[in-house]
Amino acid sequence: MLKHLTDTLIAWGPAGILLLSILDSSGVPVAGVFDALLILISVERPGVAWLCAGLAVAGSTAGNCILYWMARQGGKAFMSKAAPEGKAAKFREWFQRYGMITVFVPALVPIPMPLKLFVISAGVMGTSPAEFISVVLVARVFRYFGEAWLGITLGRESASFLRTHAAQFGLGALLLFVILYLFVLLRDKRRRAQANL
Amino acid sequence: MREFAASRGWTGIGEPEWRELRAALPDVSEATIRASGLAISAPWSGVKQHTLEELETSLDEFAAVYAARPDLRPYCREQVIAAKDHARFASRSPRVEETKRALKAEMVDWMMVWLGDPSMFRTWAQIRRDKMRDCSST
Repeated sequence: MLKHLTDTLIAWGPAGILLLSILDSSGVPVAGVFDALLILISVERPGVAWLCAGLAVAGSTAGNCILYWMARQGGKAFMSKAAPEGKAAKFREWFQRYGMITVFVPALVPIPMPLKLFVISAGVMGTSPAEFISVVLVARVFRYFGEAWLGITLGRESASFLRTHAAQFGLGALLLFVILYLFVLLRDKRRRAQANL
Repeated sequence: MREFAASRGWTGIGEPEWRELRAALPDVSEATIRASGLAISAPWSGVKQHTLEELETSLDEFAAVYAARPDLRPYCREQVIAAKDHARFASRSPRVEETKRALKAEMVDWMMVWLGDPSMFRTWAQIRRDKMRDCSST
């Protein structure tokens, strides 16, 4: 049934992309990989690629905001429904330690990572809506417009490009992690120094 | 505000009094009612955070309401989030003196723990207090 729903939404074109991105980001499981779909549309229909990327950004941001607001209202009770207590506590702990980096990196990198639980953690911990929306928006703009550009520029070669450069993408993600981690360490060190004054 | 409370013979503000007050004076903000000096119970009182001790007591009261009244949970969370944002703003403001900024940063951590899991707060606060005592004695 999920596969059928996904296929129907794809057939709708840009409107389907918008709906699919909202569903995908708000926690509703959809069949298939959204990133691959966006690249495929950009390859097949370059004329609507930028529109689809824009709609994917809008839909994904809206979907993540829905999840964030539900968690913000529901708190621990909402998180308990999304993950078992031990796992939920671990995600909350990571979020408390690394802040919005835990949302930014999975939202940016097209490698499967647990974005939803970090989005829920952001809501549970009462992150400011402006901060949350701006982080998701920036990450999604880079990701989806980058994928549309890839599809338009490389056409049918996109898939083989992604396959042959998978290691570089992985390395890039790792590098991003390291840079942001060092940033967090530096920030914590500065805060501790301030607290000890 | 005080006259209104006195005219009804209220010695403190609980839920029925709070609702009556809000209905009778819709243009008066919650912050103004809290600043009137009337004794208001949690969660209507908002989170008190002049000192760490006051914050701890206040969050304990909020945790008790959170556990007993599921219908008030969103309101409790809203109040703690607002207090946390307020404390965070103060902790980052260059206009606030260093010691107070450090205190406010500590308070942000306390409220984050409460937001994560209110039922854990009491145990965590005890451990944190012990740790702070150990650090200050060495």
